Amino acid sequence: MFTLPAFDPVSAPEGLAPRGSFGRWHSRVRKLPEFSGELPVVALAEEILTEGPGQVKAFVTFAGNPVLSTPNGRELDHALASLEFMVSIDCYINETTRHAHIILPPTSSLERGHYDLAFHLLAIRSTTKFSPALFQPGEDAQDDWEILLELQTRMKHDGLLLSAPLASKRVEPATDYTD
Amino acid sequence: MRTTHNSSLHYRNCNLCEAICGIEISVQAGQRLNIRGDNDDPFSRGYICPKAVALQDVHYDKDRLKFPVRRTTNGWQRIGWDEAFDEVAQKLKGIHAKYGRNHVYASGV
Repeated sequence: MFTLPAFDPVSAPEGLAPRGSFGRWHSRVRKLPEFSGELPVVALAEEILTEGPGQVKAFVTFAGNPVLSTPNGRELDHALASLEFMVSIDCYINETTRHAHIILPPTSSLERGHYDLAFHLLAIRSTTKFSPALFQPGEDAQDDWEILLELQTRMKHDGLLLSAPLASKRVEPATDYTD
Repeated sequence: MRTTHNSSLHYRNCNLCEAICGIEISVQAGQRLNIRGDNDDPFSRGYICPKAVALQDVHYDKDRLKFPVRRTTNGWQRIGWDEAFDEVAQKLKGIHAKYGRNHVYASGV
């Protein structure tokens, strides 16, 4: 009944796959419990709009469009407009990312290799498959992992910005169609 | 990858949802795509949904962003990656310094 994925979060070491948690801490405004380190998205708008210690001032979105896809999106739409800073890692300007001060777009699905780490766990058969990129990404394109790694690096090295070229270790497409 | 005279077949998974369907993409002249279910994929066995076929619509969509942009009073302005990374890192670090670490939220809904 259950699959045995090549990467199995259930049997992976604790550091790679946390075991989950509930209620270790609560949201500031209406005291909703955390679940595995995350809060229900219904708490987001009020955490931005309610003043006081702990008020959300900056917001990072990574794909998704919560103004459109979450309950009471109109209130979130209003709340995002009041942030001090917002950045979106997203390849579209949409209802949510239109509030971002900066948008960082990753390569398209067909420009990057893919190995699914999450969904084999929920599948009905044990299979594994690596998908190589179909198209060579543009010279100036960044994969989503490169964007996250670069942000992490620049946040970590306080005051020290990288001058070296951006790290890039992509798996090359099977065929180069750019010629 | 199987290549014939001017077309080739590429096999991959659709990454748009948890069904991770196997797809076969026929590429003609380097860019015309025909996407169908991969009958030999041991997981999805040829089944797909309309999202997989639309992977090409996203890839070729003229509205898809291909470079970083900054919001200005005159609309969206193209900026370089280095400048974009610098500004995001400086702004987030500034908010950390001013208010503390619990003032930055992230979502991937």
